[in-house]
Amino acid sequence: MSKETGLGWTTLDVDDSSGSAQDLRNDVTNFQFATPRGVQDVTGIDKSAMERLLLLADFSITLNGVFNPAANASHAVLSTVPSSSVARTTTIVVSSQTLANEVLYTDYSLNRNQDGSLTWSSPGVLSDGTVPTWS
Amino acid sequence: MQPFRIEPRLPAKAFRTYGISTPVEDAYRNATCDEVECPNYTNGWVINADLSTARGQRQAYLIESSGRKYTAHKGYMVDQSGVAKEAPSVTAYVFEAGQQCWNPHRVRTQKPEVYTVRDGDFRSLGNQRVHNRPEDWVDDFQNNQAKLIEKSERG
Repeated sequence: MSKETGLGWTTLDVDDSSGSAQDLRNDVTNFQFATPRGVQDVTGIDKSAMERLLLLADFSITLNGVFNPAANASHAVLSTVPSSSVARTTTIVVSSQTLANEVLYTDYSLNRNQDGSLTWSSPGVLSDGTVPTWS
Repeated sequence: MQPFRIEPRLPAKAFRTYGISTPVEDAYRNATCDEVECPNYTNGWVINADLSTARGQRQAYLIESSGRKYTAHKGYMVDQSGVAKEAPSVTAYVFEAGQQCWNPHRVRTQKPEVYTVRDGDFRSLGNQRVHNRPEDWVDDFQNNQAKLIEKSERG
């Protein structure tokens, strides 16, 4: 059994292709979430149209991690990304705050690095069109 | 090679990227079988070395010089459930539970993560700000989302 780290980022759950949440926290080393920022930062385009466009825009997410072929670990969960098109609930918990998103992952890319490590990258977009909020 | 992504409709400068990272080399350390409750450690394990091959001879040499406790069954192949069948060139080495196996194990380290906020998205990332405390990063993220919801409700 893995030990509790006691760090700020405690949870990363991703659904497998059958919709069961699996804890990938041990395998994931990096997480990025791109979200639209304040519309006042965008210039040169009609403002009201831009606002609407911003709010319809896709949010993108990227998970990066270390290959793990164990049952219910990252490879078992993400290797079905190319063969299935299901939205997967992705939940992170940082500092006791939860952010849950419905994510359509578009790739599961494995990379063998020069130091011999085997890592992966899995990008996705939000699938349900709502602004993700922390709770 | 970059993984396949759906291109956002907005330019990169319209995004802000919230990230958490732990460098791979700092994220893990090697662990013992005991720490990860390795099944080999818990139940014992079997290695069948085929002495008619160079690989099998090498396995036998490494096993016999390893100092681990085992029972050797010459001329038999033993599967993981303990069932033996005759195999003239094979020696089955059955290891007792409670010993370090040869599989590598790793556990997460206690290294703190880095909480970042950068302008842009994966296409083009700009200035990076680092939050020292995870709660500050969450707060920054929450404020950004609240602003988006406010704009959305305003129409």
